[in-house]
Amino acid sequence: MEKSKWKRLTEKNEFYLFFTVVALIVIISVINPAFATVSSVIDILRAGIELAIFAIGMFMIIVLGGIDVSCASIGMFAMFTTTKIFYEAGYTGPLFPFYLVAALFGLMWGLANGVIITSLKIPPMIATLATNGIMTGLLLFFIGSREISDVPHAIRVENKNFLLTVTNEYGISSSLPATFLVLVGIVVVVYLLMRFTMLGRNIYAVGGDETSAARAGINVKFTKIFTYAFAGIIFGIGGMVHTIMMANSNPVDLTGNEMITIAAVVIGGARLTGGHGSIFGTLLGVFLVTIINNSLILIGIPSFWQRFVTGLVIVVGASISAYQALRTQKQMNIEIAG
Amino acid sequence: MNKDQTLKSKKTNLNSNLLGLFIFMVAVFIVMGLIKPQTYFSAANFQSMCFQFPEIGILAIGVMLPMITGGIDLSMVGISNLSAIVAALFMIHVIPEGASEGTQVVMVITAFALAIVVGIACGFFNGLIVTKFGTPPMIVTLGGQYLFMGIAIILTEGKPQLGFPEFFQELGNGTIGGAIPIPLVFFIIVAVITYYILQKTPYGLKLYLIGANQKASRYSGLKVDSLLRKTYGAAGLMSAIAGFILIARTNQANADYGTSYTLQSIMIAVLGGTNPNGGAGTVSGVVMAVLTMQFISTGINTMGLSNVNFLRQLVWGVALIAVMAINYFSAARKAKKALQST
Repeated sequence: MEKSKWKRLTEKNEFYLFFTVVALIVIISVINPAFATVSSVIDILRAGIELAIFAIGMFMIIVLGGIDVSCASIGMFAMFTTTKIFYEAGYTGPLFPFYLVAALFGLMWGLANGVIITSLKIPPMIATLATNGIMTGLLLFFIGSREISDVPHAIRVENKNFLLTVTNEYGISSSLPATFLVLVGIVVVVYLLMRFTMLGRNIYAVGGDETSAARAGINVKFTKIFTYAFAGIIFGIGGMVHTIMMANSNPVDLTGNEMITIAAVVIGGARLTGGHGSIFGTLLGVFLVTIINNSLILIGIPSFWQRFVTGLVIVVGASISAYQALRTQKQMNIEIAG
Repeated sequence: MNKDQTLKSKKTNLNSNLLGLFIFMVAVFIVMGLIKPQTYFSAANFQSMCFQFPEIGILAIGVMLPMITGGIDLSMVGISNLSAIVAALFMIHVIPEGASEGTQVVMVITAFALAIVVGIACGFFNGLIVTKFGTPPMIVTLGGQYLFMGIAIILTEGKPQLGFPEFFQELGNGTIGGAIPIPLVFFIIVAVITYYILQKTPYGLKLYLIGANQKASRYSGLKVDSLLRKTYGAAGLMSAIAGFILIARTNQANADYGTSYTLQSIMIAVLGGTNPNGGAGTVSGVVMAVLTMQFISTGINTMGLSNVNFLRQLVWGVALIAVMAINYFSAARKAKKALQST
């Protein structure tokens, strides 16, 4: 049976998500015209940078069929340790080494996660729960628990480095920070990796059905370790971006962010069972979460409703896609039986 | 190998795991005691330990139930806080000023009942979504955590709730006969009832069957969906009890209290031998894991270092990986042996 392009499109979660986001934007703009301005778009983009970076790393892991509840801790460990090293050394040079060292710390923890999960056959959630404890313990007890607000020069400079600044009629200016380019870079690299390389397709294959993937000759163990390690690098960079945007390195700043990261990816249509998901969907999921957290207040919904609405979006969004999968499976069973 | 033998070997397997856990617990107890024996081995220290672990212990026993079925509950702390907030609002706004002791007792019992109803309803909601739409439990309860905590924030506008009857605070801070902390009594009741249900009732057996193989149990006629809903409801019930003790001990209700308890309780359940993939888990294992954790915490605290709390997380993480590694290697060794003997 040949499916029309339209039908295939309407089966995708991203399709519905896209219209949900558009509808939400339209509704908010109608109620409060102040929302439909360039400056508020910039504000949302700015607010979403960090979550988007973490979500893309998590997206790769979820497509693999895994999960990483240590992502925020990897980010915190990388950013704080890096800042501390350069701070104590009295470093005054350019910014790039910060990213490099943070990425290396991320790589280290990502590799640890991957190796523990594959060699001891521990469920990813439990393994990363354990490494999460180890990381925060090491970080806060041995490396330091007091924030560094006197950050090195390069970070302070980058904090004030804007791609563009728009001032609205009330004289409040919104700026898009240069860290946005880091996000763009990560999006492009991960898109190319997942879409056009053998490795990326292997990640989808392992997430779809591990046994089949192994029988098809895919090195499952390597694919898994690679994904956790690569995501670790992204988390490390994400942590550094946080420090740059805050011009401050606080080793407990990102605590609890792992849950909202997982939520954004799932809202974006990736299935926790693995094998499904797209970068576009993930970014839409991040966009939706960011709008809920930043813009509900514009249409008169008090800020203490944020958490409830986020929860509603998670449950409804995930249930729609799960229910679709359930129905498709039932239909397939009927087709096979018939 | 005939069926009887398989069953027997499974049972000895379980007992050897529990024995291992018991030896580990005793070893931790002694090692931690050696750091500062005078402080550690004192009645006051034991009593304060018994005030500290019941909340997390009840949460860990609660999260074990969905884990036995192969699911998980990330919303336990959210349910705890929401049911505690509902009970708190009731006590603050309904109990009249200067009510007699008798009325106070009745009101506190009503508040407890209210908390339990809220807890079961929240858990049942989780179970309903899991079974009706086939949504993975992890994501349902993750969303549930936001939902329930969100409702609690809306109800309180994010402010802590204070002003409970004096009698109520006794539940969290009082003792029976000057020795046994009341929270410990709650914990023991929960542990004993759960033990009984899991080991002696058909429901308990079915729970393990679902976890071992959901498809097979469905085909063999178990009402899997209804059983799952009950299980999440039971987890919600235990969250409510933990939340109730918590506000009695701290004398205030917060919408976002103890968020780190979620992952901690899962960690304890796994340390106690609960299989995260379902099919295995015992109350005695979880109880021993809770005690071990408490010994570690208290022991580390007696060191009197600054930031020592952070060291605890490190020790727990290492312990979790160590236990999983031991399980993995002993299972691998057994599989090898079984292969050789055939």
